[in-house]
Amino acid sequence: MLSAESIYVNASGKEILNGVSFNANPGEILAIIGANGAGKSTLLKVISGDILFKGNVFLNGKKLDAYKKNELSRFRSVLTQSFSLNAPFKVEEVVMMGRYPFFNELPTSGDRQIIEEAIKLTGVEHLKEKVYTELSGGEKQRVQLARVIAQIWSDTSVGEPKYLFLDEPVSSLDILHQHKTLAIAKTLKQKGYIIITVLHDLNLTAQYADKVLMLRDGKVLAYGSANDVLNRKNIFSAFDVHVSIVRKEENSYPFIISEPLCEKNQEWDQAVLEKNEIE
Amino acid sequence: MTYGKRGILLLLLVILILVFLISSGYGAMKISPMQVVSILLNKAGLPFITEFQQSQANVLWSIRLPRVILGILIGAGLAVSGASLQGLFRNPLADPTLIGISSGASLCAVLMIVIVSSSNLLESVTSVTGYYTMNLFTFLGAGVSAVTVYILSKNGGKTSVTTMLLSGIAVNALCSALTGLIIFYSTDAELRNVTFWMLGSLGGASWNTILGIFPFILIPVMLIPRLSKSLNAFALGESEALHLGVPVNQLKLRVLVLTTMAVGASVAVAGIIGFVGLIIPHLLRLVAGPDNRFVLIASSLLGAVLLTGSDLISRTIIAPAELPIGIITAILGTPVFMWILVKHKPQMRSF
Repeated sequence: MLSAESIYVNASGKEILNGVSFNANPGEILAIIGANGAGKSTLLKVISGDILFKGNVFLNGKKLDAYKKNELSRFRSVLTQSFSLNAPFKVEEVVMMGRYPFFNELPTSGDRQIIEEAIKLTGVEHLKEKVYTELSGGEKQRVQLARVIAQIWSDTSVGEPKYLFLDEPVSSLDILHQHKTLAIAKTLKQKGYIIITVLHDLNLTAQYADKVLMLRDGKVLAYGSANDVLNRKNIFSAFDVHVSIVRKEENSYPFIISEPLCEKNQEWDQAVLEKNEIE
Repeated sequence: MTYGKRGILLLLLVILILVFLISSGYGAMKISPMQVVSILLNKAGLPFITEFQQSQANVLWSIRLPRVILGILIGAGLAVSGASLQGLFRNPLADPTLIGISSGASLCAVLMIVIVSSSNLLESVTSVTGYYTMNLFTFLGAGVSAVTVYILSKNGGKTSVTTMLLSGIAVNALCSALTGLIIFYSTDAELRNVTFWMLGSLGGASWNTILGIFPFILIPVMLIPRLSKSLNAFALGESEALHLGVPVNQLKLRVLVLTTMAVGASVAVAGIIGFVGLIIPHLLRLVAGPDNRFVLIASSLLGAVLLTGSDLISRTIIAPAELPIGIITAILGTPVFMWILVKHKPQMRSF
């Protein structure tokens, strides 16, 4: 289990995160959502151990800074938004880097099998022999996904749970691969992984996340099951956008449709602010 | 590593041995490769293969061999330093000369020569302890330049090509200005020593020189390849490397210390020899890709081959005079440098 307790991050006098707490359990996808600058990526950096913060983060009951870096790398992998690799490695070599924490000089046959599986899972087999720097943005993102999956891949779910942190994993992907990526996350979740992902798309969040952490200006605005968090009032408070919510059936996940910004909506804004009585 | 890459390593090793034999034998007094082997066997107390004259053995032992070994050491040191710096800066243009590491070392060497010759300690410079002191000075100079350029060119976890090259220009300019200042205030005797040293060649090679720089080159050449997997992961980005369990700060420190050690030592005995650290890794990446597990080891081998070969040309092309070796490496290196610039133009335009 991962638990974060009252996280504060301060950068040049500005509070980027202001007392954020949450838990994520094995077999759960937790989505972090919020407007630009709400602190989503910062929060992901905090739990990845990339930046300094006040507060506590526990992984499997042990404090984050009590782990050695190479210890963490064996059960936690992180997909960042950076595609800054500019050395012309082959795709297969890039995916193999995910296994670096596990072998010294040469990969074992087990490592080779794992990267084969990760490459197959993410559907980048046809790119295997290509040079990474010549791929499109979306292809790069899928190759990086294959790498981080290879890092924590195992057939059995014995031992401590494994963690996958994703920072906007679908930002460069077409609609099919957005769903494929999150379907992979779902498969891993069913194997007992803990998945924490920053997402922008509210519908994808509604369809794939078990829990949602909604941030606004570094504070938790709402936290709970996707169904509870994704309502009109919360979405308006977090994004200043009006939405309609449609459901196929009574208990199915919501479809969130945003409305254009217009005068009628501004009047409605007033109504929200004054009466606070929507949904 | 694939069989192809192992094959290339083996081939490089064979070429190095051939270049070693040819280069040791070639010069005013000709010694055939078989005779070179025989003389070496004889020195080791083993039965030799071909007849040779004692004068040949003397020339080989006290003139040719130190020079060829010095070439091998410096070539290997400079090339492996260039390759690992390129990994650290995540940039194929990071060469010890271009980014000012060599000129920092050179400034300190000139400073030491002036101090030593003004206090009449000149004779001690050519002793092994003298070389160690010199190495210490050049190591400091190289280290200060390397750290300065690294800090200047880093921008939020990324190093941009432009700022790196510009910081290199700044460090180079400052170092040559200060070197000029020292020369301006030096006496005639000091000036002669400085000028003699600044010409930069392997001509001063002796067994003392070899002993003086041996550890400072051997340690980096042996240890840098052990960082190759970490440097591969570092290519993904700094936080990405951290997530893969690479101790990033330790890695940076190790690369900086080891490369300045090798560059400092080679500048101390041979002056500034440019472009070796640029051409060699680039050629190898062109042939076999950027995997540092191959590039770093192969750089040492090919660097040794290139510098020994260049030195052979430098001392035979206008014999009995000698062409400074830096001219040859620059003539070979500048086209490669331009080629990398052209290839990276699209990437550079974004800055």
